[in-house]
Amino acid sequence: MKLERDVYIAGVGETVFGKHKEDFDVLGRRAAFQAIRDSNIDRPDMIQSAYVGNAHNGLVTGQTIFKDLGMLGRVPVINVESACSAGAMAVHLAIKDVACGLKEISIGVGAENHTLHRETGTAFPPAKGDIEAMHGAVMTGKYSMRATRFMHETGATIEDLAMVTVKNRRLPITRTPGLRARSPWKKWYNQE
Amino acid sequence: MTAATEKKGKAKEPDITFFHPDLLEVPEDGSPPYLKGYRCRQCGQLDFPRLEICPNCWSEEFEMIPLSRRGKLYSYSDIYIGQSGMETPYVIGYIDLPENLRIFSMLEGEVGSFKCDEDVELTVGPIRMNRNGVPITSYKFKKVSG
Repeated sequence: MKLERDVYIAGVGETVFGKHKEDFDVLGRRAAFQAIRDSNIDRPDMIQSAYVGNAHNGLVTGQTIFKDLGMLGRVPVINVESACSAGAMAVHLAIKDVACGLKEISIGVGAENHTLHRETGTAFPPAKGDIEAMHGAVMTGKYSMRATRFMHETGATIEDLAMVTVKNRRLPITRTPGLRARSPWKKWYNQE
Repeated sequence: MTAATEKKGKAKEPDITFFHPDLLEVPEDGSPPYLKGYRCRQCGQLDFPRLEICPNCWSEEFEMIPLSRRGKLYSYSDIYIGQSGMETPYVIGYIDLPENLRIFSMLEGEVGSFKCDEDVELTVGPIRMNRNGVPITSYKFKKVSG
Protein backbone atom coordinates (compact mmCIF):
# COMPACT_ATOMS: atom_id res chain seq x y z
CA MET A 1 0.00 0.00 0.00
CA LYS A 2 1.39 3.40 -1.00
CA LEU A 3 0.63 6.13 1.53
CA GLU A 4 0.10 9.75 0.54
CA ARG A 5 2.83 10.64 2.99
CA ASP A 6 4.94 8.84 5.57
CA VAL A 7 3.41 8.09 8.94
CA TYR A 8 5.45 7.59 12.10
CA ILE A 9 4.50 5.81 15.31
CA ALA A 10 5.22 8.47 17.94
CA GLY A 11 4.50 6.31 20.97
CA VAL A 12 2.99 3.01 22.04
CA GLY A 13 1.27 1.88 25.22
CA GLU A 14 -0.22 -1.33 26.53
CA THR A 15 -1.62 -2.58 29.81
CA VAL A 16 -0.60 -5.92 31.25
CA PHE A 17 -2.81 -8.79 30.07
CA GLY A 18 -4.77 -10.25 32.97
CA LYS A 19 -8.01 -10.33 34.92
CA HIS A 20 -8.44 -6.71 35.88
CA LYS A 21 -10.86 -5.05 38.27
CA GLU A 22 -10.63 -1.79 36.34
CA ASP A 23 -13.16 -1.32 33.58
CA PHE A 24 -12.34 -0.99 29.89
CA ASP A 25 -12.16 2.82 29.96
CA VAL A 26 -9.56 2.86 32.75
CA LEU A 27 -7.44 0.32 30.88
CA GLY A 28 -7.89 2.16 27.58
CA ARG A 29 -6.95 5.48 29.15
CA ARG A 30 -3.85 3.95 30.75
CA ALA A 31 -2.69 2.51 27.45
CA ALA A 32 -3.44 5.77 25.65
CA PHE A 33 -1.58 7.83 28.22
CA GLN A 34 1.36 5.44 28.16
CA ALA A 35 1.55 5.99 24.40
CA ILE A 36 1.35 9.74 24.91
CA ARG A 37 4.13 9.67 27.54
CA ASP A 38 6.17 7.48 25.22
CA SER A 39 6.00 10.25 22.60
CA ASN A 40 6.81 13.96 22.59
CA ILE A 41 3.13 14.84 22.82
CA ASP A 42 2.71 16.89 25.99
CA ARG A 43 -0.60 18.74 25.66
CA PRO A 44 -4.18 17.48 25.11
CA ASP A 45 -4.69 19.82 22.15
CA MET A 46 -1.83 18.31 20.15
CA ILE A 47 -3.81 15.18 19.24
CA GLN A 48 -6.23 15.96 16.42
CA SER A 49 -8.35 12.83 16.17
CA ALA A 50 -8.97 9.69 18.18
CA TYR A 51 -10.34 6.28 17.23
CA VAL A 52 -11.47 3.69 19.76
CA GLY A 53 -12.21 0.03 19.17
CA ASN A 54 -14.47 -1.78 21.64
CA ALA A 55 -17.13 -4.43 21.19
CA HIS A 56 -19.11 -4.86 24.35
CA ASN A 57 -19.50 -1.63 26.28
CA GLY A 58 -22.24 0.05 24.34
CA LEU A 59 -22.44 3.77 23.68
CA VAL A 60 -19.74 6.46 23.67
CA THR A 61 -16.88 4.15 24.64
CA GLY A 62 -14.18 6.37 23.14
CA GLN A 63 -15.62 9.50 24.69
CA THR A 64 -15.55 7.71 28.07
CA ILE A 65 -11.86 6.98 27.62
CA PHE A 66 -10.82 10.43 26.42
CA LYS A 67 -12.99 12.73 28.52
CA ASP A 68 -10.57 12.50 31.45
CA LEU A 69 -7.63 13.29 29.19
CA GLY A 70 -9.15 16.66 28.35
CA MET A 71 -9.70 15.81 24.72
CA LEU A 72 -13.48 16.03 24.41
CA GLY A 73 -14.73 19.05 22.57
CA ARG A 74 -11.30 19.47 21.00
CA VAL A 75 -11.02 16.47 18.71
CA PRO A 76 -13.36 14.07 16.97
CA VAL A 77 -13.52 10.83 18.96
CA ILE A 78 -14.77 8.09 16.67
CA ASN A 79 -15.81 4.65 17.86
CA VAL A 80 -15.28 1.59 15.69
CA GLU A 81 -16.26 -2.02 16.18
CA SER A 82 -15.15 -5.17 14.37
CA ALA A 83 -14.98 -7.78 17.15
CA CYS A 84 -11.42 -9.06 17.73
CA SER A 85 -9.91 -6.63 15.23
CA ALA A 86 -11.56 -3.46 16.62
CA GLY A 87 -8.30 -2.16 18.12
CA ALA A 88 -6.34 -2.81 14.94
CA MET A 89 -9.06 -1.02 12.99
CA ALA A 90 -8.82 2.00 15.32
CA VAL A 91 -5.06 2.20 14.76
CA HIS A 92 -5.57 1.79 11.01
CA LEU A 93 -7.92 4.78 10.94
CA ALA A 94 -5.50 6.90 12.97
CA ILE A 95 -2.76 6.08 10.45
CA LYS A 96 -5.10 6.93 7.56
CA ASP A 97 -5.90 10.37 9.03
CA VAL A 98 -2.19 11.23 9.08
CA ALA A 99 -1.35 9.52 5.78
CA CYS A 100 -4.02 11.52 3.96
CA GLY A 101 -2.86 14.78 5.49
CA LEU A 102 -6.17 15.30 7.24
CA LYS A 103 -4.46 15.35 10.66
CA GLU A 104 -0.90 15.70 11.93
CA ILE A 105 -1.33 13.58 15.07
CA SER A 106 -3.96 10.92 15.63
CA ILE A 107 -4.40 8.17 18.21
CA GLY A 108 -5.95 4.70 17.91
CA VAL A 109 -6.88 2.64 20.97
CA GLY A 110 -8.47 -0.74 21.55
CA ALA A 111 -9.95 -1.42 25.00
CA GLU A 112 -11.99 -4.25 26.46
CA ASN A 113 -12.32 -5.97 29.81
CA HIS A 114 -13.86 -9.39 29.33
CA THR A 115 -13.73 -10.21 33.03
CA LEU A 116 -16.15 -7.42 33.88
CA HIS A 117 -18.87 -8.13 31.35
CA ARG A 118 -22.26 -9.41 32.34
CA GLU A 119 -21.54 -12.25 29.92
CA THR A 120 -18.31 -13.23 31.70
CA GLY A 121 -17.86 -16.97 31.69
CA THR A 122 -19.64 -17.32 28.37
CA ALA A 123 -18.44 -17.02 24.79
CA PHE A 124 -19.41 -14.21 22.44
CA PRO A 125 -21.77 -14.85 19.55
CA PRO A 126 -21.51 -12.98 16.26
CA ALA A 127 -24.16 -10.30 15.67
CA LYS A 128 -27.13 -10.92 17.93
CA GLY A 129 -30.09 -12.14 15.90
CA ASP A 130 -27.71 -13.60 13.32
CA ILE A 131 -28.94 -17.00 12.13
CA GLU A 132 -25.69 -18.73 13.06
CA ALA A 133 -25.76 -17.06 16.48
CA MET A 134 -29.30 -18.35 17.01
CA HIS A 135 -27.99 -21.85 16.30
CA GLY A 136 -25.26 -21.59 18.93
CA ALA A 137 -22.34 -20.02 17.06
CA VAL A 138 -19.63 -18.36 19.13
CA MET A 139 -16.57 -16.62 17.71
CA THR A 140 -14.14 -18.99 19.45
CA GLY A 141 -16.09 -21.96 18.09
CA LYS A 142 -15.70 -20.69 14.55
CA TYR A 143 -11.93 -20.33 14.98
CA SER A 144 -11.89 -23.80 16.48
CA MET A 145 -13.67 -25.21 13.41
CA ARG A 146 -11.08 -23.60 11.18
CA ALA A 147 -8.27 -25.16 13.22
CA THR A 148 -9.99 -28.56 13.26
CA ARG A 149 -10.36 -28.53 9.47
CA PHE A 150 -6.74 -27.43 9.06
CA MET A 151 -5.56 -30.34 11.21
CA HIS A 152 -7.82 -32.71 9.27
CA GLU A 153 -6.48 -31.61 5.89
CA THR A 154 -2.81 -31.32 6.74
CA GLY A 155 -2.22 -33.85 9.50
CA ALA A 156 -1.04 -31.06 11.80
CA THR A 157 -1.45 -31.63 15.54
CA ILE A 158 -2.53 -29.38 18.41
CA GLU A 159 1.14 -29.25 19.42
CA ASP A 160 1.98 -27.89 15.96
CA LEU A 161 -0.57 -25.10 16.41
CA ALA A 162 0.81 -24.34 19.88
CA MET A 163 4.21 -23.75 18.30
CA VAL A 164 2.76 -20.71 16.54
CA THR A 165 2.21 -18.93 19.82
CA VAL A 166 5.61 -20.04 21.06
CA LYS A 167 7.19 -18.55 17.94
CA ASN A 168 5.14 -15.34 18.23
CA ARG A 169 6.20 -14.78 21.81
CA ARG A 170 9.83 -15.05 20.77
CA LEU A 171 9.50 -12.34 18.14
CA PRO A 172 10.86 -8.95 19.26
CA ILE A 173 7.72 -7.17 18.06
CA THR A 174 5.53 -8.94 20.62
CA ARG A 175 7.96 -8.48 23.48
CA THR A 176 6.12 -5.58 24.94
CA PRO A 177 6.38 -5.18 28.71
CA GLY A 178 2.69 -6.11 29.09
CA LEU A 179 3.08 -9.47 27.46
CA ARG A 180 6.44 -10.15 28.97
CA ALA A 181 5.27 -9.74 32.56
CA ARG A 182 2.67 -12.50 32.41
CA SER A 183 3.98 -14.76 29.73
CA PRO A 184 4.49 -18.40 30.59
CA TRP A 185 7.46 -18.11 28.24
CA LYS A 186 9.19 -15.56 30.48
CA LYS A 187 12.27 -17.75 30.73
CA TRP A 188 12.62 -17.61 26.95
CA TYR A 189 12.90 -13.83 27.07
CA ASN A 190 15.41 -14.04 29.86
CA GLN A 191 17.64 -16.32 27.83
CA GLU A 192 18.76 -13.41 25.70
CA MET B 1 -67.71 -21.96 17.71
CA THR B 2 -66.43 -25.16 19.30
CA ALA B 3 -63.27 -25.34 21.33
CA ALA B 4 -61.65 -27.42 18.57
CA THR B 5 -62.15 -24.83 15.82
CA GLU B 6 -61.06 -22.07 18.17
CA LYS B 7 -57.82 -23.93 18.72
CA LYS B 8 -57.37 -24.48 15.00
CA GLY B 9 -57.80 -20.77 14.37
CA LYS B 10 -55.09 -19.95 16.88
CA ALA B 11 -52.70 -22.48 15.38
CA LYS B 12 -52.46 -20.32 12.25
CA GLU B 13 -50.76 -17.54 14.17
CA PRO B 14 -46.95 -17.42 13.86
CA ASP B 15 -45.36 -20.09 16.03
CA ILE B 16 -42.67 -18.35 18.10
CA THR B 17 -41.13 -21.68 19.05
CA PHE B 18 -40.27 -22.40 15.38
CA PHE B 19 -37.16 -20.45 14.51
CA HIS B 20 -37.72 -19.23 10.94
CA PRO B 21 -40.05 -20.38 8.15
CA ASP B 22 -37.66 -18.99 5.51
CA LEU B 23 -35.03 -21.56 6.50
CA LEU B 24 -36.79 -24.83 7.13
CA GLU B 25 -39.96 -26.47 5.87
CA VAL B 26 -41.56 -29.20 7.94
CA PRO B 27 -44.41 -30.42 5.67
CA GLU B 28 -47.69 -31.02 7.44
CA ASP B 29 -48.28 -34.21 5.44
CA GLY B 30 -45.42 -35.87 7.29
CA SER B 31 -43.01 -35.94 4.34
CA PRO B 32 -39.37 -35.26 5.28
CA PRO B 33 -38.40 -31.71 6.29
CA TYR B 34 -36.06 -29.78 4.03
CA LEU B 35 -33.97 -26.62 4.06
CA LYS B 36 -34.97 -23.90 1.65
CA GLY B 37 -32.42 -22.64 -0.85
CA TYR B 38 -33.13 -19.59 -2.98
CA ARG B 39 -31.95 -19.46 -6.59
CA CYS B 40 -31.49 -16.05 -8.21
CA ARG B 41 -33.69 -15.85 -11.32
CA GLN B 42 -31.18 -13.56 -13.05
CA CYS B 43 -27.74 -15.12 -12.46
CA GLY B 44 -28.65 -18.54 -11.09
CA GLN B 45 -26.66 -18.27 -7.86
CA LEU B 46 -28.06 -20.45 -5.09
CA ASP B 47 -28.14 -19.02 -1.59
CA PHE B 48 -29.02 -20.13 1.90
CA PRO B 49 -30.47 -18.50 3.91
CA ARG B 50 -32.99 -16.42 1.98
CA LEU B 51 -31.76 -13.02 0.88
CA GLU B 52 -33.68 -10.06 -0.44
CA ILE B 53 -30.94 -9.01 -2.84
CA CYS B 54 -28.63 -11.34 -4.76
CA PRO B 55 -25.08 -10.53 -3.59
CA ASN B 56 -23.74 -11.61 -6.99
CA CYS B 57 -25.89 -9.54 -9.37
CA TRP B 58 -28.22 -7.44 -7.18
CA SER B 59 -31.32 -9.02 -8.67
CA GLU B 60 -34.31 -9.21 -6.35
CA GLU B 61 -36.08 -12.20 -7.91
CA PHE B 62 -35.61 -15.67 -6.42
CA GLU B 63 -37.19 -19.08 -6.59
CA MET B 64 -37.22 -21.46 -3.65
CA ILE B 65 -35.35 -24.73 -4.16
CA PRO B 66 -35.56 -27.56 -1.58
CA LEU B 67 -31.99 -28.46 -0.59
CA SER B 68 -30.44 -31.90 -0.19
CA ARG B 69 -31.06 -33.52 3.15
CA ARG B 70 -27.59 -35.05 3.28
CA GLY B 71 -24.17 -33.48 3.29
CA LYS B 72 -20.60 -33.84 4.53
CA LEU B 73 -19.38 -32.35 7.79
CA TYR B 74 -16.74 -29.78 6.77
CA SER B 75 -15.74 -29.04 10.36
CA TYR B 76 -17.18 -29.00 13.86
CA SER B 77 -16.51 -27.70 17.35
CA ASP B 78 -17.49 -29.10 20.75
CA ILE B 79 -18.67 -26.05 22.68
CA TYR B 80 -18.04 -26.24 26.42
CA ILE B 81 -18.14 -22.49 26.99
CA GLY B 82 -21.15 -21.36 25.03
CA GLN B 83 -23.29 -18.34 24.54
CA SER B 84 -24.84 -16.65 27.51
CA GLY B 85 -27.98 -18.57 28.48
CA MET B 86 -27.25 -21.70 26.47
CA GLU B 87 -26.83 -25.06 28.12
CA THR B 88 -23.44 -26.65 27.48
CA PRO B 89 -21.90 -28.73 26.12
CA TYR B 90 -23.25 -28.58 22.60
CA VAL B 91 -21.77 -29.17 19.16
CA ILE B 92 -21.74 -26.88 16.12
CA GLY B 93 -20.52 -27.53 12.61
CA TYR B 94 -20.40 -26.54 8.96
CA ILE B 95 -22.06 -28.90 6.49
CA ASP B 96 -21.18 -28.99 2.81
CA LEU B 97 -24.24 -29.79 0.70
CA PRO B 98 -23.99 -31.25 -2.83
CA GLU B 99 -25.39 -27.93 -4.11
CA ASN B 100 -22.04 -26.32 -3.21
CA LEU B 101 -23.47 -24.61 -0.14
CA ARG B 102 -21.76 -24.61 3.27
CA ILE B 103 -24.31 -24.35 6.04
CA PHE B 104 -23.78 -23.64 9.71
CA SER B 105 -25.75 -25.90 12.01
CA MET B 106 -26.02 -27.18 15.51
CA LEU B 107 -25.19 -30.89 15.51
CA GLU B 108 -27.28 -33.50 17.24
CA GLY B 109 -25.01 -36.00 18.98
CA GLU B 110 -22.43 -36.37 21.73
CA VAL B 111 -19.40 -34.11 22.13
CA GLY B 112 -16.25 -35.87 20.99
CA SER B 113 -18.15 -38.04 18.52
CA PHE B 114 -17.83 -36.08 15.26
CA LYS B 115 -15.16 -36.18 12.55
CA CYS B 116 -14.50 -34.00 9.50
CA ASP B 117 -15.96 -35.32 6.22
CA GLU B 118 -18.50 -37.54 7.94
CA ASP B 119 -21.88 -37.99 6.27
CA VAL B 120 -24.58 -36.08 8.11
CA GLU B 121 -28.29 -35.61 7.49
CA LEU B 122 -30.91 -33.03 8.28
CA THR B 123 -33.01 -33.38 11.38
CA VAL B 124 -35.30 -31.09 13.33
CA GLY B 125 -34.92 -30.35 17.01
CA PRO B 126 -34.48 -27.78 19.76
CA ILE B 127 -31.62 -25.30 19.31
CA ARG B 128 -32.13 -23.20 22.46
CA MET B 129 -34.79 -22.00 24.85
CA ASN B 130 -36.86 -18.88 24.28
CA ARG B 131 -37.40 -16.28 27.01
CA ASN B 132 -40.22 -18.33 28.50
CA GLY B 133 -38.03 -21.42 28.77
CA VAL B 134 -39.78 -23.14 25.85
CA PRO B 135 -37.55 -24.92 23.29
CA ILE B 136 -37.11 -23.19 19.92
CA THR B 137 -37.19 -25.68 17.05
CA SER B 138 -34.98 -25.37 14.01
CA TYR B 139 -32.86 -27.41 11.64
CA LYS B 140 -29.98 -29.49 12.95
CA PHE B 141 -27.73 -32.13 11.45
CA LYS B 142 -26.85 -35.56 12.82
CA LYS B 143 -24.77 -38.51 11.72
CA VAL B 144 -26.38 -40.59 8.98
CA SER B 145 -28.02 -43.45 10.83
CA GLY B 146 -27.17 -47.05 9.94
